[in-house]
Amino acid sequence: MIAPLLIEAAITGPMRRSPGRTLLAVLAIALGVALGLAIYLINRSAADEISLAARSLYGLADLAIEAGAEGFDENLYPRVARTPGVAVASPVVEVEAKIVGRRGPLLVLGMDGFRSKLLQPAFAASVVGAGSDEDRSGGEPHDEEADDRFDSRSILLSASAARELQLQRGDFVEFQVGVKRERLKVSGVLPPAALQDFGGVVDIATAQWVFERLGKLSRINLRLATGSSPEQVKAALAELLPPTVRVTTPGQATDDALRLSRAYRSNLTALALVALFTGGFFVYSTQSLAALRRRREFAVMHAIGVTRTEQLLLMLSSSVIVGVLGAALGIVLGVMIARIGLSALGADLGAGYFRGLAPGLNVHIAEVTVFSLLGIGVAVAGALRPALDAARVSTASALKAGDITSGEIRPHGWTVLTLGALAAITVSLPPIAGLPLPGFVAIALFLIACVVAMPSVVRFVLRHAPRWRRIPYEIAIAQIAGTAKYATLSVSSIIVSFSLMASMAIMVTSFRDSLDQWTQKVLPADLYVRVGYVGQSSYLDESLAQSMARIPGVEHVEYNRFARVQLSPDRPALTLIARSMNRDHPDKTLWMMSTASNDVPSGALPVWVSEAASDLFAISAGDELRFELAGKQVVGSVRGVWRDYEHQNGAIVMGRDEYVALTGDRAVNTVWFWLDDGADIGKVGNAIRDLMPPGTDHDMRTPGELRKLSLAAFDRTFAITYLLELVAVTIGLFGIAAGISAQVLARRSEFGALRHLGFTRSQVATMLAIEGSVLGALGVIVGLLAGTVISLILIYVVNRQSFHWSMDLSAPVGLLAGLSAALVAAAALIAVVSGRQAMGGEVVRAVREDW
Amino acid sequence: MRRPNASLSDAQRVLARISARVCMALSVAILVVAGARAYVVYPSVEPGYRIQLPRDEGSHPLFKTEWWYVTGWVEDASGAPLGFQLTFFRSRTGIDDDNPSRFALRQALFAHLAISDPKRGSLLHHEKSARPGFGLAEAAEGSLDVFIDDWQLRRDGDGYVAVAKAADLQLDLKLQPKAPPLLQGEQGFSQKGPSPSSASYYYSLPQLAVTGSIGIDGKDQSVRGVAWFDHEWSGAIVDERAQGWDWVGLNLDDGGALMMFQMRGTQDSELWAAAKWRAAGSSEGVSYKPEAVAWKPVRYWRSSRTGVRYPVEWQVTVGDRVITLKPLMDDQENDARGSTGTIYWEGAVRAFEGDKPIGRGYLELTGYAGKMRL
Repeated sequence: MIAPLLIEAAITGPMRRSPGRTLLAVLAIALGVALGLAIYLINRSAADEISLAARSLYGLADLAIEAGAEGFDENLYPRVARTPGVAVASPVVEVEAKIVGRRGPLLVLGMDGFRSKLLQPAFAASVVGAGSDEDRSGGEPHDEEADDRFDSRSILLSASAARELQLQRGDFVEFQVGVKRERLKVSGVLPPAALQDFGGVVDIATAQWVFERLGKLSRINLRLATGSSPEQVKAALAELLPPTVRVTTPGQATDDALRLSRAYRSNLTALALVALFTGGFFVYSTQSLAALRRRREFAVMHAIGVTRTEQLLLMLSSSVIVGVLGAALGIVLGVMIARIGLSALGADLGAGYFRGLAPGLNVHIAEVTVFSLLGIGVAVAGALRPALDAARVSTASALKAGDITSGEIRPHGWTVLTLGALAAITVSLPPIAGLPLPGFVAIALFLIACVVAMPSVVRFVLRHAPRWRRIPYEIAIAQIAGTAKYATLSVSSIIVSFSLMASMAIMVTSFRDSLDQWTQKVLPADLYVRVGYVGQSSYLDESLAQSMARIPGVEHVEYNRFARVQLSPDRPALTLIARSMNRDHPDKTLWMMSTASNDVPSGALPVWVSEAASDLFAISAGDELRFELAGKQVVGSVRGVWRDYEHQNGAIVMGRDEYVALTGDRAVNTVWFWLDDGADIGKVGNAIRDLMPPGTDHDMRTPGELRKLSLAAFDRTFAITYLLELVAVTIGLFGIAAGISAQVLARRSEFGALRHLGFTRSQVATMLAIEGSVLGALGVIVGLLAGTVISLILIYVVNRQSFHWSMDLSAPVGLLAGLSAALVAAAALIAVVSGRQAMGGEVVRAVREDW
Repeated sequence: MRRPNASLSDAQRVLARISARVCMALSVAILVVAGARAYVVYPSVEPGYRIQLPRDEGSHPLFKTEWWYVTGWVEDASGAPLGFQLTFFRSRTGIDDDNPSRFALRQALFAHLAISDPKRGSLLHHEKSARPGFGLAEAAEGSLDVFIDDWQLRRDGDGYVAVAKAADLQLDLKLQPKAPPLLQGEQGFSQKGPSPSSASYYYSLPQLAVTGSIGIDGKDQSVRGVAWFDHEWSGAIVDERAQGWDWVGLNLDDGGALMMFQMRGTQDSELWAAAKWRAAGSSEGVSYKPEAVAWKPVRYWRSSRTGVRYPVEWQVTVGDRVITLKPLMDDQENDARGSTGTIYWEGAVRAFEGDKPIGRGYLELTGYAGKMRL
């Protein structure tokens, strides 16, 4: 029998009586749900957008023939088209074209409209409007005019490209190819759904000609004949294709696009769930405190006939209410955050993974349901343990006065050991599906172990607390020792939030410092000029680059050329960097992590691979590496593995002389300038600019600028993680506030007694401040220790597995010290403020309450 | 003018639209191309050129447009009649002449396939288009061999082969000439309007014996019958004043052949007309001047799809002969608004003199849904 009165007494009454704590609990859950949902929604929008984009690139294709790197010979096209089972073969030339005066390339798709209309009707449909327009206005068009439609030097822009470039039909786009200029007329704008990318469509012959891709194709989209088996067609094609050309499905392409950012996105999601976790922990600590305080109430309930199960349900239902309110608020907040995040930062939250995507947000009911249930579940899970404990309390002893605070503490040695061992095992597991899930699980296990171990730690610390003969101090210590269970709870909530935040701070700082050192190490020259990048249309002629070496003030120069290499048909292409290498001292320009001890086998070329390449393809120093370059088989001998924060898919460095000998490609993307002592860098820069054809798009940077740029990019990428940390800490502070204030408020009678004994108000305040700061300090110290351990997991396990980047540990001492001090101060302040409140009324009379 | 008709313009539109789709939009005309295009010179069509076969069966890539056109009547095993039509168009685009890419869009090819089956009551048709190259689509010079993927029209020994395959329609025919080629106009110079500047080179192969198979909806049936082949190439064909045209080619039952057309100006007035009649057994036909040719509509049919009204039955006069043309079925309308934007009528007809059937052929009616343009 659960009468309304009982509900009032057991659920709504307590909530009303402590509206602040209830509100905080609701907020904690809401923040957790909101962040989780927002991050999830943003990620999903990005993924949707990417698969849409891929779909528009492939149209209705069932299969696609692709080669990484530089594409493949166009003579494959008729052979592929004639393969039995292939109904439509649509050749594509894909170019990342450099637009003059703009950073970032435009994805130019060269297509044969006669073929692609069968696969990409959207491209076709888009122009029907344009055609009929003209038909109407044409009056008496003439044969000649009709043929003007074949203008082969025009481009159809995607909606996003037209918007960003602010171009419309009739305008011109100017591209840089090599250092030449080529312009194409905008003949129309595609509807947004036709091509999602920042891109455009041109005739395939124009693409080959203008962008210097004669004889090459990037892809052939295939539609299979009805009834033919994709597997058979794949097999037939595989026999036809050279090893570097692969058959893919459009779905695989989407995966490739998503894979790059997946680690980043999953880490963000894990962080967002940390917020929910701390929210759950907050519910746990407040409910535990409430359960302790309300022991007598519960005993009375038992006495009047409420069963323990009913009482358990009553207690859980109050947390369900908190969960429902928190989830509802969290959903609203989450959708708002996602919306703002998408419009302000873009689908990758500023990390730079998906340029030119402008996803819209739509929320599915299933997602709302899942996150609501997650919020409610966390609230209930947090309340479960305290509720069970409360239900177990023996009626007789709880009915007695006093002793509401002692809650004896038990050590859980075995649990702690088991959890610790489990954490140690999980942390050494390999990543699952390329994601560092075991790392995250290990962190969670370790944190739980810390919390479970806290009672013993608190007891140990108190036993060894320094003696200090000051009444407030001694009383404070005695108080904490006497209410160890309370103390443990307050300290635990500090530990959970502070350790997570400390670990993130340490990880981010380590990463940032390593990046900083890396940029200094890998940028030994005085000035860098870059024209074009991997797979882009622009580059410098060698002769032009050589003439730069003769500029007065230039001591010597080195050249870089970027290309792509496909090591495995199932993985995205690696970046190949051809540059002047000092074979004996590669560490002059690379940050070597390991070097080979064997000699280069005869016939093999020395190459140096990045850490990501080493991890992804399981290559170590000394190994042999085979790949195809410009149609030739190359045998490389890995001379070493270098640290690289730039190429997430991996990179290979080889000597430029060998590269030129193999490929005949003498083009240059980057020129490194070492200047004479005392040379005027500004004059040299101007002389370089004068050498280039007017208006050539290039990047000229000093190492200082490059360093600043890369750190700025880093900070932009991690801005969102700072935000998430902040929320976790806020929830942690809620925990401290709720814990300490509940405890203090419950001690009104004690304060009364102290005042009777002659304590001044300020002595009581001092005592409370000491209590607060001792608890705070305990939490902060343990939190720091735990945080350091977690940061090690983040640095050496999670990050390494996510990005294949290693970094050196480096702690933000100042930041951590400041935060620690602030937290301790906040704990003290909260204790004092709550104390003021508690003593504000008839404190002295309150003694009587405690008959 | 036949085939320049509907289908050609249609072809051009397809071409235009498609290229519009991907390579450009119309009004672009301008700068970029204007310069380049100014130098494109299409050969003109002059009287006196001697058509030589089989050399001239092949493609003439310098000319702006060219088409190869097979129409015919066949009967299946049960004796039920079917009309068929398979056409290839070539168009020189005038661009990309200096583009070294093997994809350069100097030429474009189109093909159209249609079957008139009275059991269906309306046309079953498909089309295909491609840029020539890579052996996937070509129009060869020197001998008839034009194809897009698995659609083809080519010489095979002393006959021809016509093949086209679509999902619900397959055609695989052998065409065997039973009469010598018929040069249209003056030795193959066919004037299309009052001014000799609109003209084409034009010859026909009437009375082709057809054997082979036609599959409709997966049901393959062997067929036999008689077909008419046209081949025409030109720079500028249609007089600017022409609103549309009517064309018919008839295989006469006695072995003779008759081709006639009229260009219609505004109000459907006759702007120009011509006819060629070759009696059975003779190698030369008789040409008729515009004043000796008359077209008189007898019965109209209105399409419920498009609302366009076509004169599907005619009384035509050639010299002193009066012939009635009656369609195999009324609805032989091609509604290509979805793809090419044109609507025209083209279908199998029977010819009567009085009540007496004298032959069968194909009739083409264009410009009834608005002015036809090339």
